[in-house]
Amino acid sequence: MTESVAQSQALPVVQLRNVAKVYDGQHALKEVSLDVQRGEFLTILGPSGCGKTTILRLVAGFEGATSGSISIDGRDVTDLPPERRNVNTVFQSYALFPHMNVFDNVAFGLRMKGRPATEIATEVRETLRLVQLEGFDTRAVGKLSGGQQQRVAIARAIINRPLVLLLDEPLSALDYRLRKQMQLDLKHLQRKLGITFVLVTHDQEEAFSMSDRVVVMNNGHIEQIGTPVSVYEEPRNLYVARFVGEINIIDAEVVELGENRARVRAQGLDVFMRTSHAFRPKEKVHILLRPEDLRVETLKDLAEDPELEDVFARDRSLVGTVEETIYKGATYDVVVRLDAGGIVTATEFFNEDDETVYFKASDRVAVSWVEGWEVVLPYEK
Amino acid sequence: MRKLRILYATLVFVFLYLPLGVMVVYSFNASRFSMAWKGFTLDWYVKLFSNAALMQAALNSLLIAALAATCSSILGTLIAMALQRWRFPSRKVIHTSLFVMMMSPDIVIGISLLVLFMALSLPLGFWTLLMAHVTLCVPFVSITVYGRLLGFDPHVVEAARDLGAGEYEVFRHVVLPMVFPAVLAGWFLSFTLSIDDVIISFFTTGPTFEVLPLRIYSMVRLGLKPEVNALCAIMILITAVAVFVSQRFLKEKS
Repeated sequence: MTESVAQSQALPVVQLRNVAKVYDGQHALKEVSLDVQRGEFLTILGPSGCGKTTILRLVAGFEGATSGSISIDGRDVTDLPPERRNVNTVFQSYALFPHMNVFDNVAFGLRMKGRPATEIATEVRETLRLVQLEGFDTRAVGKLSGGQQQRVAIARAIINRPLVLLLDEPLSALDYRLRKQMQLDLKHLQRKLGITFVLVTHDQEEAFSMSDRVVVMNNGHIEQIGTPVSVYEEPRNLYVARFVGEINIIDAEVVELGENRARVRAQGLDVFMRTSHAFRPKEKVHILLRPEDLRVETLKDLAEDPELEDVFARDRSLVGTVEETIYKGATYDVVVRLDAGGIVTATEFFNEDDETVYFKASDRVAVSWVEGWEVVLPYEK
Repeated sequence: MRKLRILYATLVFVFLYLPLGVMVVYSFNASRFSMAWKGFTLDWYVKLFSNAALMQAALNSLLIAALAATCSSILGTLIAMALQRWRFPSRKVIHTSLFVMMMSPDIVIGISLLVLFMALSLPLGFWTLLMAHVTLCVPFVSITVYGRLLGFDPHVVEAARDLGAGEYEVFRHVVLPMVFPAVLAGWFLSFTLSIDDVIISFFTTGPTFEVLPLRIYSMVRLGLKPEVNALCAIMILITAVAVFVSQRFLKEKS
């Protein structure tokens, strides 16, 4: 008994096996396989048209897969209609029933299940409290604000206690502040309910701040699956690296290989880099560096302060000239044109004792980073 | 400027409604033959209601109008839903043919239906007239309901199914309540179309079943009678009420 419970706990709640979807001869989805773990907050991230919403619609049952199979809770649902799948959806447009008030909208699912009226009333009130809409029962949904409609849409879905809640860009219609608030609220709601959430978004910040795992999609296939940290820190390819935040890309060539290390030549510099890829000598590679991992010092400061020079990894520094500085509020970006060609951007925090940006255009600077913070990827055209 | 605008609007309304107004006034004129005003009377209304043949024709008209409106509301709504929901090959053809039916001259529809009924050797009367009027009204209902269906967020139906509603529940609890104002508007539109139709009725009914417009038509061939004025005044009232009600339904919730 306990063993079978444990087994069902370990079983992915949603499984996609080689699922493809073709619309009018176009592949919206190309042979995608994906496991959604029980109780996790999974985000599917990608630009519009990458197939992320298609995955959601296939799991919900609004679309049939062209090939492959989908199972929910270990049961094959590939051919089941939406009303017979134990998942619920929060639509981007909310899709509330315009002719019903808040109470009737939220009660709809339970009424379809034929639950007694008194039980429904209690549950609806309970759920409305959960989404902070107490006392809104008799309001017409058309008269609510965007944020309130959003909450009704969420309440209408979660009242059914689905195995999985599917959210299709639920926050995209809200303004910035409200969106930030709803991101937190959704995350808390998910923890409280323990329901698996699958969210679709094109907003990398949204994906990172809410999810346990992120699926990065591009052009109908999955580029990478991992925790927000691993996707950000260890992007599998240039597409992922560029899609999740700013990145500097420096071309280089492999000189020599060691164990989990490679000596590469970049910008006339010979440096050792940590890498798990199996490169060959002379192979061209990309070195990826996040702007916030770069450290910039002026050549003048380095020459005057031997201590600074000791800390600053001189043997892996690139020399160049500051082009411009861009004020970002809490931080600022320093754009450096390297002497050996190419431009890198470094993000700097304001020093406590600096009132203004430290670097100025045409300053001669050296750019460096801590060994191991770089990512080395095979060369892509 | 403001006065000019009021004057202009008044002229338009006078142009549109003066003939109707004159007729309503004459329905209360005590003179039988002359156009001169001979004092107020309700005699023509009394006479009208004691004219058994005319009252039978009026009842027949109301019956046909109500039945035709109901049948075409059901059929038209189903067509609209099919057009909106499915992407079948002949979809465009059906959609266009609805407009063709709406635009076709009544005389063409009337004659073509007559030919059809003759070919099927159906006796002209109640049933043929009903079928003809349903044919006349269905496109109007379909277009009205279809327009309203297009105005909806298509995800609403998906949301209902997502929440466990089957085909029937989606129709009963979501689609029908949402389109109902348009269906009702279509019903009233059909009702007025049917009740004032002369041409199609002329070709598609027989001596066994006489409707009001045809009866009036045969009456006025022997000269204008004041009862007809009275009857027409009543019909204007009914039509005005039907139009007003259907507008109210369309406006509400949209």
